[in-house]
Amino acid sequence: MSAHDASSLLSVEDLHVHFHTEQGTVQAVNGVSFTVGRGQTLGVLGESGCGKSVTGFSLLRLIRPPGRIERGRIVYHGLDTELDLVQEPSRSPLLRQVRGGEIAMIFQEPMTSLDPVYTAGNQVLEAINYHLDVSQAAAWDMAVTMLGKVGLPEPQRIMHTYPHQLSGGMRQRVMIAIALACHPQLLIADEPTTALDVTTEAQILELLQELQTDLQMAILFITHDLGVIAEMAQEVIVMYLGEIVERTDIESLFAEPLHPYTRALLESIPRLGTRDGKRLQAIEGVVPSPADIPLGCTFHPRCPDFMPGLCDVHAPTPQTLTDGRQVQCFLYDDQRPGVRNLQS
Amino acid sequence: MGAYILRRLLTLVPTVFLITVLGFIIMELPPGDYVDRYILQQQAQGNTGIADQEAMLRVRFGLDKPAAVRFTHWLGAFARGDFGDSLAQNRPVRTIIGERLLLTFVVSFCAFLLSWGIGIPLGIYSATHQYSKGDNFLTVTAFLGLGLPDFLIALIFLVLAWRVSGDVLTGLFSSEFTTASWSWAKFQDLLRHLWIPVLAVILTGTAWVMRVMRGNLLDVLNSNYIQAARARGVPERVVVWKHGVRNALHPLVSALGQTLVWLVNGFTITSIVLDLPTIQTVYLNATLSQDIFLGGTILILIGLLVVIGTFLADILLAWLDPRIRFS
Ligand SMILES: Nc1ncnc2c1ncn2[C@@H]1O[C@H](COP(=O)(O)OP(=O)(O)OP(=O)(O)O)[C@@H](O)[C@H]1O
Ligand SMILES: [Mg+2]
Repeated sequence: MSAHDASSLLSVEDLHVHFHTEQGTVQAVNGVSFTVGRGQTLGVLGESGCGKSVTGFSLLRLIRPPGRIERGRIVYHGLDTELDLVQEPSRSPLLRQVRGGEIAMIFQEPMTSLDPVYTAGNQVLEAINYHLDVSQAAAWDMAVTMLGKVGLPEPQRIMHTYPHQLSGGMRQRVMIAIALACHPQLLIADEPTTALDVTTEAQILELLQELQTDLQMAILFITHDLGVIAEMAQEVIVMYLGEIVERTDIESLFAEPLHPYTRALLESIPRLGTRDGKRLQAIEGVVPSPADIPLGCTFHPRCPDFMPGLCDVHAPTPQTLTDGRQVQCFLYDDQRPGVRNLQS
Repeated sequence: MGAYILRRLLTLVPTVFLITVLGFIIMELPPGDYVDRYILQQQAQGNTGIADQEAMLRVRFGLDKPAAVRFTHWLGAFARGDFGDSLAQNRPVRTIIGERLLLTFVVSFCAFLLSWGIGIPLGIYSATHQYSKGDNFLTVTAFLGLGLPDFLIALIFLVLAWRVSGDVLTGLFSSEFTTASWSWAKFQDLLRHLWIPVLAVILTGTAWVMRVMRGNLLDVLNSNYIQAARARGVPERVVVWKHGVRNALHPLVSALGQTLVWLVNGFTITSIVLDLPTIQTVYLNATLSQDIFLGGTILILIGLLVVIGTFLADILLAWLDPRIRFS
């Protein structure tokens, strides 16, 4: 898929986001490129700390000091003209219009994502009033409708309740109502169900799918949960230490994972019938700190297919396979010596 | 909200009663009573016959009755606004306090309003411009304000004023105005003296408010709901003031009660150093001479001030924070 395909809504090109902390520079996102198609769901998969949230926040230019977008482009194609969000001044009205109006976000922590001192209604109205030129009465009606749409009972009453009076699941529904109040074309969902119990999780996922069909929006769905991603995404990018190591369609992700990291991730989930009391196989080793990224391929210290002299010296480049899948690993690089090609 | 205020008001009753009991007990603690001291004083001046009148003096001052009875009488009178007579000055306590109360309130209230009025905006500026030149300057200044005690700052001002004008600006009025009736000139003279204690106290106060506000706001501005507000397109100005400042005020308001105590306590040494006729110096002298009605009354007034401050802080907090209002 080319980055400037007519069907693409957002394309990220070579994005680098670093945090300049007192302990040193944390390279949270390191040359990430991907495209989200209109109305599509792109899944972002990876272990904790691999830079999923930082990527999501970057798209809305919500990275605060000491963090900084060092390099790259985030091109939004949803307006009449192409807009590179990286180039927008941080307080530009256009950027504000995009936030919530074109691209909205829901967060990992529904318990703390609502301001505790204002009612749910106040915060839904805020989203509407800063984007649409409507009367107070009309805005109120829109907010109530939206709260009803996300499955909250008695939306009129919810308008007057404070966040602490709502459960986690209800708060996440309010967050979804806020995010979708102005009908954005892209929703960034950053692990929206991680903090919720399993039943609530299923309900929220179902709700998101309904609303996606209803509102024709694209979703960037961030998660570390393979089960969730199977349910939500058509296409998946797998992240490791701030890089995309694999991009694949959802069927191939499970049928034929390419990158050793992706394979290890899949092996780490317990399968039905194999739960004989043994510990499930977690990936060997720990994620290195993004402040101290290994030389060569960043996964080599944990990789079962590690090739000495190659993986710890050279950094692999993304390889596109014939079926369009992409993987960043020497195992699939014909130009390197000693490479086996799984395509044959 | 109304129910909350009522509930809070009811809890005030036992607190206030306890304050009066404690105040009374504390004033009773020192060995000997006023009559003992009075007799010693008279004997030192050669009035040897005074010892025979001891019992009569006790009856006259009401000191012969048991403590519980004296306390009940005193409390009943207190509630009616009759605070008794000062034993040392032979004047109604009410008159003595009345003379001083206004001034104390003026200085304390000015200091309070100014330190919060200046400290909060500076704290907000500091937090929203973290590590900028302005923030660094304010940080250094605040550490000076917090590091130097206010009476020392007052002394520095006093010396500076003396070097410039040649006047020693202790007390409240220059000698020619002390007994004069109120006039424009006397008022100007008051202002000429008053700025030293007020400025000394607000420097410390402002520094404290500013640092607390800065820290709170920095914490709040890093929280999830702030990022969420930005993510839905709320302008940064509104994010900071509507969502940031309102949440950051919370710990500051909780400390409001303590702030009132600080205004009363922290001001004592400054009052003594500058020879100001505030309630604090009266209180100190009353304690030193075991003048129980005067000292006890002031102690209770200070206690009440603290209770009222805490009460106001709680009401304000409940207004700020729905989690308190609805609990
Ligand atoms: N404000 C910050 N200051 C310094 N480092 C940061 C900051 N925010 C994120 N990082 C670092 O960036 C890296 C990526 O963080 P990120 O939050 O994107 O991880 P994640 O993939 O979302 O993980 P999780 O599944 O735990 O949410 C982490 O190593 C984190 O320590
Ligand atoms: Mg995250």
